[in-house]
Amino acid sequence: MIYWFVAFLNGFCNSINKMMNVKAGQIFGTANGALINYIEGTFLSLALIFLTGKSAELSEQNMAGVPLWVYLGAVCGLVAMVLLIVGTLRTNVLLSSILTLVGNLGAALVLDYLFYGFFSWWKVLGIALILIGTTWIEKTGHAAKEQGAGTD
Amino acid sequence: MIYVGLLLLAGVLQGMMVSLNGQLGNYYSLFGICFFVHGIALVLLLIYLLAIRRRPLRFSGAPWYVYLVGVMGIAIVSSSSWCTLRIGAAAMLALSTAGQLISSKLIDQFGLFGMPVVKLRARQLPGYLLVVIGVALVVMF
Repeated sequence: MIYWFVAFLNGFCNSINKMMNVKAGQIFGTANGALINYIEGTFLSLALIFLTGKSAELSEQNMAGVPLWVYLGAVCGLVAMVLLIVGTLRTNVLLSSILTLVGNLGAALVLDYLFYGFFSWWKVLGIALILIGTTWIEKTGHAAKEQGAGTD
Repeated sequence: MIYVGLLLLAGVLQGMMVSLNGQLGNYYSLFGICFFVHGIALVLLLIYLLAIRRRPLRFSGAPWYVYLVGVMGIAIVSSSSWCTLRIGAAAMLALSTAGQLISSKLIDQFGLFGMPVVKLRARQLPGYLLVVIGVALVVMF
């Protein structure tokens, strides 16, 4: 239950983080804005590793036992950010939100099966409902914003 | 059409990122995961900015809260990796999507962070209901 709650809160953090990143991007440019995020994240997490007494995990001996492919998440995140910026600039925010959601929930379903053996058609149905619901919310919200802009 | 493909690929890569970062949790603590996720991206981005674009780096002149972006990044990476290892990436992303939709609506509803006020419309409610049912199916089964 606690994991569900934390995952839900993660979405709140993501919304606030998006707004901060947009502001940083407006002031410093997209790449420099992202760089601030990564510089702070790197040094803060390094400090927290030492403060929590976990520095042994950065030893050569520990790191030698970690397969290289698990580090690819960071590369995926960076490439995704670039593709998202390029794709959104040439389509629109609504299409961009829906397509990325299709991609990330679909990939998560496949990878859950590969890593943990989780799969059920109920999950597929659930993902389809999330996509339909999100499209509905975005479309009606977009129409409401346009109406609001028209009456100002 | 190519941009549709690029956006789909961006989404797939985001899903892979969450899943792979969760796998890092088999070897490192939460802050260890954050260190590698941010550090690897930092090195790649620095190479791009310094070697390819050759533009000067500038970090001053933003409102104070913009500088908290790294703290938020750690909260997001550590919480998503922690949850993914226990409930899987699909459930984690489904719940996070619901959280994003609701928090975005709260920001719009009350005009938080200086955003324009956009009130909830009754015709949006079926969409939220579908998302709630969808999330419940992903999480429970």
